[in-house]
Amino acid sequence: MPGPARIGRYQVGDVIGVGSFATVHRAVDERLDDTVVLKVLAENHSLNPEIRERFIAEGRALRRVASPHVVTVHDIGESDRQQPYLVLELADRGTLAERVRTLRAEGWTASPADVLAVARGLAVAVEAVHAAHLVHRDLSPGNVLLRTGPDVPGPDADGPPSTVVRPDERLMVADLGLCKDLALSSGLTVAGGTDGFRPPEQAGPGTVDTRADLWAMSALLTWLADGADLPRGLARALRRSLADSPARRHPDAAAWLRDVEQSLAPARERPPAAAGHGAARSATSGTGPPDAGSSSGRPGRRRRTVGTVLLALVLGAAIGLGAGWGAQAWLGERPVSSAGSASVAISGPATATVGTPITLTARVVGTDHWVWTLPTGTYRTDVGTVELTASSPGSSEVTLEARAPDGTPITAVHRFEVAGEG
Amino acid sequence: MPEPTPLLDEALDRGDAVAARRAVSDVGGRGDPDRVLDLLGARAAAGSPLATELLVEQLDESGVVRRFVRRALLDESTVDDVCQDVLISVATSIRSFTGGSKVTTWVHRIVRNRVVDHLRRQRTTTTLPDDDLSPGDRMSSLIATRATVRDALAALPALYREPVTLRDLEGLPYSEVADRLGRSIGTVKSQISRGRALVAAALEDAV
Repeated sequence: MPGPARIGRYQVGDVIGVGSFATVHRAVDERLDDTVVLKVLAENHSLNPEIRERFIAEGRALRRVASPHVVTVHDIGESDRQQPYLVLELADRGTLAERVRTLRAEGWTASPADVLAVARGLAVAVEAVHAAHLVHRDLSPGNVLLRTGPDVPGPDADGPPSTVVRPDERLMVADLGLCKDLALSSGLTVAGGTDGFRPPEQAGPGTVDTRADLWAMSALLTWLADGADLPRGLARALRRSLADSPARRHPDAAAWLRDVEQSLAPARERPPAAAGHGAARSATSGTGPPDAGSSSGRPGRRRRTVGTVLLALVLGAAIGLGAGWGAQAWLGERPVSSAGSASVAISGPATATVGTPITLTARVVGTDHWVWTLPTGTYRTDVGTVELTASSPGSSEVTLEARAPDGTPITAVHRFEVAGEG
Repeated sequence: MPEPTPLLDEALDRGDAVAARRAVSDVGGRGDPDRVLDLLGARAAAGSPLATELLVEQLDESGVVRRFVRRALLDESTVDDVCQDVLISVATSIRSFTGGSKVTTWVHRIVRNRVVDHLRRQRTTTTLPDDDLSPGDRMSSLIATRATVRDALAALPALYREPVTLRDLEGLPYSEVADRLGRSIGTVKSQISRGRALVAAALEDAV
């Protein structure tokens, strides 16, 4: 059935999204001569008072949030068919999910500038949401939007530009998860939030506080950083808010952002001893944030330099790996190398020389699938051996991760030293 | 059970509307509106017409009903209509209120039902049979046509009887009712709304 040409005073255009509850149209506000977005509650749900109330409440709640990084609600209305609709600011540059999909198809991986641009926009948005005494509950790549025009130059305006959030763009958070939450509690459709970006406490009924959003922010950045050559300190910073227990996460969005920023701090802030002269894209961690969130039994590891060696890969075609599993493996807490009858181990030399390939072999028992994490930050799945060639001296590590049949993540780490040529 | 509020209880026992209203505003003024509603709900359920009258008044005046309705509906005149429907439902079904929940919880359930009724009626595009009139409209036309209803109307307190008579029997617009009685249009609208609800309650009791 073709949709109506006009809803209220809005000239309805293309459908730009269809969710389980609402259809999203591009529309023209002829009075104000502006293009807007109309989010119209599905007709069948419009007769359900509970969903109706949630939908309207979401509009009113979003309206209370004042931030250029949270989508603006211009108006709320009702169609001739009693469907409530929200009139929203248009994100003319699409979603973060689309942007990253396009970039990945071109072989892109996230740079520190990309991670920072997304982290800062997200943190500001989520802070504003929390300041309005709301929990977003559905932060995911499809709910993070891009539009033309930064209102304020970012704090990193002088740094390298991000290709994800371009210099002429602004990141915006959309759609609170109110309706999806309802779906969860009433068993209507899917669980609240979006798969892979839903904190554990949102997997079932119960109370959810602002720290649920911190979990989702970490999951989102983990997804963004998938396959990228980034400091290990970032993984540590993100891992803290991925803790199952909200009490172990960052206390708020600002603390989360501080940790992320510190983990990506430019090389000049590192202690001189750790400042290698490796290739430009080599990782620069070593001055990670105080490791407050993760297990604290390893203070000596804090200054460990990882990846000051850049290794060239001499492997066949890359095998794609979904963000969820690989990233989770990357971030897994307190790694163990065996669980039940399953185990992983890596065999290979403990030293290497620049320019000379070494081969590492997976010893995997009790599971059919595993993933290598290489010093370049890339992943390889289900291959028995990897061959690596170091391009500069230093120390490095390779990890091998898998899941035991009971779901427990198991991890083996192989560290090795790379000596200079000759 | 709500804590006893002796003055209000006694006033209801005596059927003393003036004293009961004063007691209601005293307790409500101390920032305990739920307690007043729960007490009135219990007494109304037990068959006190005065308690029903005060309950309908309180629910309307405090904005409780309107707030609930506005959660689900946007259009102002629709909100007015459904508020009227809710007050009628409250007045006619208060006998079924068991006190197992707070009055506001019970009212919220009624609001949702009346909202759905309203939406369904709106959606039906065919000519409406009489059954599909909203409770407010049906009561309005009943009042205009039936003798028993006129008796119930005659028994209403003057505060409500006058505006409902002018509106539903004489068919005057709200603005003229307001002029004649020297009250504001908002006051008159809500008095008519409550008055219809009370007529409905009286009819229910008569059955």
